[in-house]
Amino acid sequence: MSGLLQIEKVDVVFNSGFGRRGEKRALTNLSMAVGGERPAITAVVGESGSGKTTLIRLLLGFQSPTNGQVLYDGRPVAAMNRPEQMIFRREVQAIFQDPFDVFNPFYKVDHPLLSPLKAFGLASSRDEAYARIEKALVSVGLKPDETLGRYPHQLSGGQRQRVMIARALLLDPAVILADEPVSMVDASLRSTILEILYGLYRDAGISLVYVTHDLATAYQVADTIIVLHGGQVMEVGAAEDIIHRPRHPYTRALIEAVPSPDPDTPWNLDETGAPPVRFIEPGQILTLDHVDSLRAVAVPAGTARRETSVAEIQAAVANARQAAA
Amino acid sequence: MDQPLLDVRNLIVEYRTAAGPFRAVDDITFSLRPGERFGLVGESGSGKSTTILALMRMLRGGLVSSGSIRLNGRDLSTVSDRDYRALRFAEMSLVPQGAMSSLNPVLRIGEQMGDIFDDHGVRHRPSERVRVLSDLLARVGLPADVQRRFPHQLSGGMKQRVCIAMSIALKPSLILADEPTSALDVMVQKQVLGTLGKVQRELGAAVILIGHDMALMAHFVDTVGVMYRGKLVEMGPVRQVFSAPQHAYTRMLIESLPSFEKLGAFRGAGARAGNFLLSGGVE
Amino acid sequence: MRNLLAAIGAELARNRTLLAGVVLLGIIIAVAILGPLLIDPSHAKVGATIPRSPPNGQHWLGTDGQGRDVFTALLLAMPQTLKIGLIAGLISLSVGVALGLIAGFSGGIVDTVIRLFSDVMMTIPGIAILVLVASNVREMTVELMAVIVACLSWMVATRTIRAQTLSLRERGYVQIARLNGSSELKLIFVEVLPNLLPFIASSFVIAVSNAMLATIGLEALGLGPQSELTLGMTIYWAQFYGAIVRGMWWWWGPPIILISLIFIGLMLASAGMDGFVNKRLRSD
Repeated sequence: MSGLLQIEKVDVVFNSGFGRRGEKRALTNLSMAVGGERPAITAVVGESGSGKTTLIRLLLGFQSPTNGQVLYDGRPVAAMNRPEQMIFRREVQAIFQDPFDVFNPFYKVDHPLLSPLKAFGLASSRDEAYARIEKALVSVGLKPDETLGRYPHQLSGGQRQRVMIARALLLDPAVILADEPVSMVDASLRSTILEILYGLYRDAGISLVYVTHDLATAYQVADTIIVLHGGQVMEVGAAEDIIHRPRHPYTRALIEAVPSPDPDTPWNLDETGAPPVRFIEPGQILTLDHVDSLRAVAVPAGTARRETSVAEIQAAVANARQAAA
Repeated sequence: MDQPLLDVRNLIVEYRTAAGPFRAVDDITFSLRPGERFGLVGESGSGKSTTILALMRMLRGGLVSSGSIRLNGRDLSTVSDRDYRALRFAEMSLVPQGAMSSLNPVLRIGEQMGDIFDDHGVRHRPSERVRVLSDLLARVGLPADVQRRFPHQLSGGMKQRVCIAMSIALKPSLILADEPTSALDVMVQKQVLGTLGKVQRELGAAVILIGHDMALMAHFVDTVGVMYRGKLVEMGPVRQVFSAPQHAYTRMLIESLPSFEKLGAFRGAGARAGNFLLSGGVE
Repeated sequence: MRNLLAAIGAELARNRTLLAGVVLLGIIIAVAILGPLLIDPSHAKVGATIPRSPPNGQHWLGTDGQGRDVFTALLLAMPQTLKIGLIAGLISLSVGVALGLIAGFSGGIVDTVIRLFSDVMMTIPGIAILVLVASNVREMTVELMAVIVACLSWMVATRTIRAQTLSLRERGYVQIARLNGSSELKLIFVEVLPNLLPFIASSFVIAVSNAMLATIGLEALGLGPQSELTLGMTIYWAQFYGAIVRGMWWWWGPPIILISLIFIGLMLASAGMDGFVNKRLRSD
């Protein structure tokens, strides 16, 4: 067991105000796993308010669960001692949505690259640190002499996002959580960034959680897609199945909302459409029903023929992929 | 031959900076027929938003240093600032990028919509005003009671539809929409874009849609223009641009669009062997 | 560091209000430091000159009712008044920044306690406390005065810094620093504090001017250091000996003009910084 990040039966409830009325459930009964022996890319797709930001914060240890637990290498993150914490901190890294906000305007771009090497004792000298940094920058397609020694505002959004990927890489992570990494990057650079992220998995064996609102890019990189809505999983399965054979009406609605890049594929923009459907009733608790070997769909609690979890489907998808290879 | 509704010729917009004038819009020329849907695509800093602001005469710090803009045959450079105020909304209106920040948080929706009529000297009796606003809201698919609500009581998609309703209040012949859906969730984005298309068609107005998403353009506009570093590098009917893009940048934009039909080159069977980490990306 | 100085230089070149304030304050401080070295302090002693003479070639600003040379007395009083302002400003700023950072970063019960305490302190009328303390100490000194004023004015800085810390704490770069293994202390001092500098600078100017305003008010009421020369005490003595009814404008006029100049300088600096701080907020 190395680099396995799990969450088990997690609920996150925020309290704003007094009593149950002020409660807001951000995540309900979620279990999933990333990393470990078999690296994989898991996409979490959801709209605003789906709980995806809470999920990222939970996986990073920035947010503690109300119920359930977050485990790294089998140890609860909340109960870790100092050395274990340092390993968790270093091996579970993240890339955020806004490539501007993640740089402290007071420092040159070198600062966020040098400080982790110092904090984790990964380089014994300044020269060694810079050698590592330059290697990481080159690996994300940046020229070190055009990047280092500059201030963040002197770099483009695409360059900054790549510096952030290099920063994560420097720490030799087992898991990278990518929170909408391309939504604020110019369209022409998005596929480059996605390609770099995919390469991390393919060439460096790093597991990724790709959190996005965009099903199309999720399909491009992920093995497993988790569709999140209102803090609960609507559907989970192999990317190919989710996109081409969606089972849940919410997944179908999401797919229909994505315009095809081909002007001749109809998109029915002019249909004023049916009134918006509610996919979850307020307060309703769902469970995942195992509908086939690589797929689970949400059903009202207690009605599943065979209850399952996201983690189980992820494992099944990974097995199937290994068998195919 | 029809007279064009909007005719922009050799427009140059410059910003004065410490390092000398910076050309944000560099010699662009295009025209729109009445009722046409025109898309302007480009990345941040390409000059697409500056073009829109120049049309609205809302440039901050920027200067139209040459070129002409004609709307309905009238040269807009001869219009005084005072007359320009009357022209906005009445002949040419803007649907802004962030509906969240363009609505006044302390005024009810009805008051803000009513201001447009008041500012342009359109008088209504109170009951008539309510009816007019209800009618406008109905056209963008919102219930009449929205006019009694405050912006924070509406969702992002509803606010953006209020902005669309405001933009058509005085029946302009041209609607400028500056990335009206970029801050919205995908399903809401489709609804809002559908709403914009519907009111535009009912009104017979032309629309300029600014954006960076080529896929949206593919389904919304008739003609698309691609801006790159201040220049209009390619323009043509949308199907033609998609099937035979001429400029390298356009080609890259179209090819890099993610699709459900095919996987990206980096994933498919033809994925490059070896360590991509050494090959680097493109900028 | 060089970057910081360059940024300040560039800002001064752009921001005329700030520049005017800084230049005016610079001149005042230079006069306050150099002035006392160039004059004979004995002229400021009671009975050193012929009392009540209007401005003339020998006594540029005349002499007061007790025979002090007004010009000499003012030059000696100015550094004392500035000293009170600076000491009080520094103390209240340090307390404010420390409490504001602690409250903003730790949150929870610590934050609630600090916020409640500062809110309660804000509702207490400062001048009442000052009058109470001043009338009960045996001998008021410049330093004691500064400490009292500081105790009553740290809340403004605490509030500003706390609010800014709360918003900076959620910034992406603080999260990245967390992922980079930075300790909480490093988060505060390396990531957050440098970005608070403009707010700290403007809080300092506000703290100094509030402190000087409170002291001068107190002194004019006769509750200042009786045996020391400050601008406020000069005004107090002038009105105590009826300078206004006796038409001795050269006694009460110059200290008022000097105080006004100091406050104009502080106000310009504060307004200039406000523009700077808010512009940063907008562009961020």
